[in-house]
Amino acid sequence: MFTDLSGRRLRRMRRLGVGAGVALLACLIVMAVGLLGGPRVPVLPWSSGKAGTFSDPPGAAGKARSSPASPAPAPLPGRDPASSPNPPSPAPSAGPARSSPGSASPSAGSPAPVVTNRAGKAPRGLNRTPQPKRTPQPKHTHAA
Amino acid sequence: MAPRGHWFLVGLVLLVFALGLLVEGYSHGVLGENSSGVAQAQTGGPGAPRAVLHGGPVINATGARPLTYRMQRRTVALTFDDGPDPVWTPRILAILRRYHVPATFFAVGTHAASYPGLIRQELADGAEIGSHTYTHLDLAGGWQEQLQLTLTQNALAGVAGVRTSLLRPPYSSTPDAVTAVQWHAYRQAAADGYLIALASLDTRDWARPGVDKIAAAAMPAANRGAIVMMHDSGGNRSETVRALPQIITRLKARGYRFTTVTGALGLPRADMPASTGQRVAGLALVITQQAADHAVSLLAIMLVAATVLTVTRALLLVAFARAHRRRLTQPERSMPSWRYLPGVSIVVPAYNEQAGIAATVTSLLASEYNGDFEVVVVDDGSTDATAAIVTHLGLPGVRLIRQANGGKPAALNHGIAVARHDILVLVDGDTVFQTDTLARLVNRMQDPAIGAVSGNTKVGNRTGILGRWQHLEYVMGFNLDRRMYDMIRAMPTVPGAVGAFRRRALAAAGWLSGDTLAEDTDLTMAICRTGWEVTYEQTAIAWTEAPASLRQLWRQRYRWCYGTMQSMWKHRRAIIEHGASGRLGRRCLTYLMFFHVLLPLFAPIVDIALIYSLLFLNPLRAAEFWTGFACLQALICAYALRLDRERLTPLWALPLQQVVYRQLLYLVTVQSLITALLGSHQRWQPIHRAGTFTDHDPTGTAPRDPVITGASAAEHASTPRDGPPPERNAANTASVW
Repeated sequence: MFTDLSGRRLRRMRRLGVGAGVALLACLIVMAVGLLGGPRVPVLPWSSGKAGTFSDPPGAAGKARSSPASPAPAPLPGRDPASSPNPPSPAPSAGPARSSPGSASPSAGSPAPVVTNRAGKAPRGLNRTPQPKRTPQPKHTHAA
Repeated sequence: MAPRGHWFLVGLVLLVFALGLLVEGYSHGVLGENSSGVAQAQTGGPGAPRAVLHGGPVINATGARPLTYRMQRRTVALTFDDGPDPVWTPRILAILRRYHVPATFFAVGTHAASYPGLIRQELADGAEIGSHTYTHLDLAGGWQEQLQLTLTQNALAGVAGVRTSLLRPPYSSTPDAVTAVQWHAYRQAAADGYLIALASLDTRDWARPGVDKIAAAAMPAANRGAIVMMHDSGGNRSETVRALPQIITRLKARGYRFTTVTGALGLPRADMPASTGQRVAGLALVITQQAADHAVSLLAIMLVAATVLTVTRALLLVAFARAHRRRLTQPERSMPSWRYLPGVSIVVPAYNEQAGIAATVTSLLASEYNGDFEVVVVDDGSTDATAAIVTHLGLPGVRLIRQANGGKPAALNHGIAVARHDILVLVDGDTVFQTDTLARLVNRMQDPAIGAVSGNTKVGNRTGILGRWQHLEYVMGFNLDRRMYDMIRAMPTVPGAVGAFRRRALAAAGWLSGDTLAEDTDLTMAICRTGWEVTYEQTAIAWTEAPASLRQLWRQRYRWCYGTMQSMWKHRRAIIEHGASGRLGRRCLTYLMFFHVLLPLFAPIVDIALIYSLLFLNPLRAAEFWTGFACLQALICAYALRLDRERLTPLWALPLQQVVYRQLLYLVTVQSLITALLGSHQRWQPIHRAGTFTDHDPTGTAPRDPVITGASAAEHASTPRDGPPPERNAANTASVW
């Protein structure tokens, strides 16, 4: 019973076995890549963003949000929101935060997002990435 | 030599399966926000910088000094943590769509990987995605932070091709609740470029405080802006779903604008296209996670199936055994006529049986049988002193027949051919009869419909754990399985150790055949198919010597298992045949198929499930399950021991069968099945036999059971029964194969 004198079944099963082995190894590789692999999360725009990348008026719905880089020197990321031409809300021209960081005190009533950095010193993260890294080009349009 | 390559494959399968379970175990039980987690995360007291404690809910901690952002007036960002969830997330998305309101979802990576469609739907609806770690881990925990954040990014890249720069740490709330330990973890995340998004208003909806309370908690004071924290997963979120329309309509009535977190701050969107590398890694992760999800579901299904099968079988066996016992106590069966005394020929095939043959032959001659009987020893070309020992015994009534080595079936056929009588008792050369065995066996032949009778084999060497295990197995096999076979009138095996046959039945079955490695099973099935009844006499006891080492046990079981499969295959047509043959096919072959082939293949699942449940699930529940299982097994075994009038003391060894013994039995099944599939033939040719058994340690002990009576017992005790294990017959068979 069960014997196959020609050995054809043996050869076929062996091929099948090798195939299964390769498939399983592939599975292992996929698992390894999924669990261990993948680049470390690149540094994100909060510390490396270029000027102008944040400057979308929230009201400008439907428009692509990336605007051309502004000539301003790489600004403090935290203050970017303040520097943006601020739209619908009552007090848009939030220039002060930009010109004198120290004045941007956390106040609940403040119209624009306010930076609590009293010292006004630029975070380190900014200075270490002077070159324009790939500007985030969100494909989504702002839904306001 | 048997094939080996498949063990590598089996190992790989196990490795992949184990890794998958590890992944699933790691991400298992991701519940999301809960009171114990929150309480634990918020111990340690304050310690974050004042700027954070009194600042806005969004924190940029990249610099030396933290920057915090507050929301603009009359602006609200609805945020949902812990999702996506197949039940609640779609409902929340539907509400958001109905009111044209954007939201921010802080996704748990493992959920994102498990439900990729929901993440894509969230993005398509204009929602923003933030990270909530991979398994809702308390980031203050330490070393896993980097891994968790990367895995979450990969998961998002895999499901939707995005990465996110927004992080809401699990168990976080409003900024004034940030502890020193948490702050340390946030700083680390910020170093990777994450913007930490806490909440201004924590609805604590996970505690299910009621719809009104959730809605009230989401209302900012005055016209302040707010990030509202809610949850779309981690439990029943029906209250959240019902509160959401209220929150939206009330805030809209107050003139609030709805936006995403970054939208409220005028920042670019947090989710951005991921790099190709990240997408590839993410895809691999998503595949792994989903495969792991499926693997665990599969595991659960198989475990349930295996449990149901095992319990069903147990109940079935006990029911049949009870019925069998009741039948035996009926008056017409309890008083058999002892006047039926036909002539009997006992045929003993012997190949290199020098160790045990003397004991076998003397025990046979000591039989208290009042009829005429002879013993025919067929020396199958032994290379040892087997023949000399038999000759030297010089016992009357013993005939020695010598033949060139031809295999056990050929030896038996030879012996049967020269035997004088028509009732034939076939006995292995390593088996010892009790004085009453022969009489009890032959007595059942009174019924002219009966073609064969199976005796009850017991393990003589019960010392050591292996001997005890086999003893228990034999007792269960002979007192439960065999009684059932007797009841359903379909017996798959009359053991080679002890069985009586009618010559006409043997002739109808075509005598013994060398087609399979289990000639006894093959023969019994063949007899069953001819329509002769095969029955069981549980009082006809023969003592056999069980293999004393794992290696020998493996060989013996391999032969049995493979031989049984061969016999089943040989007689497979019985399934569709009519009459006695169909009865064997449909009742017995299906039973063997399920419980002797398929169930052992499922058995490894049970071990894997045990390890998994001990590591990742509630170990107490796992222990309960296993204790229940062990108790059921012990009860059944105790019943079998009682039926056989055996002591219950060896029962202690039963739970230990779960290690080593069970694994050996199922691995043997795997090995047999693979060998059958490969159809390898030459590999069965033994290369050199002599050396294999000479190094075998003589371990046999005479049966010391009190059941053995009088002179025969003394004889057994005084006879050295050290010798090779039973599978030498297998080797013998294989040599001519």
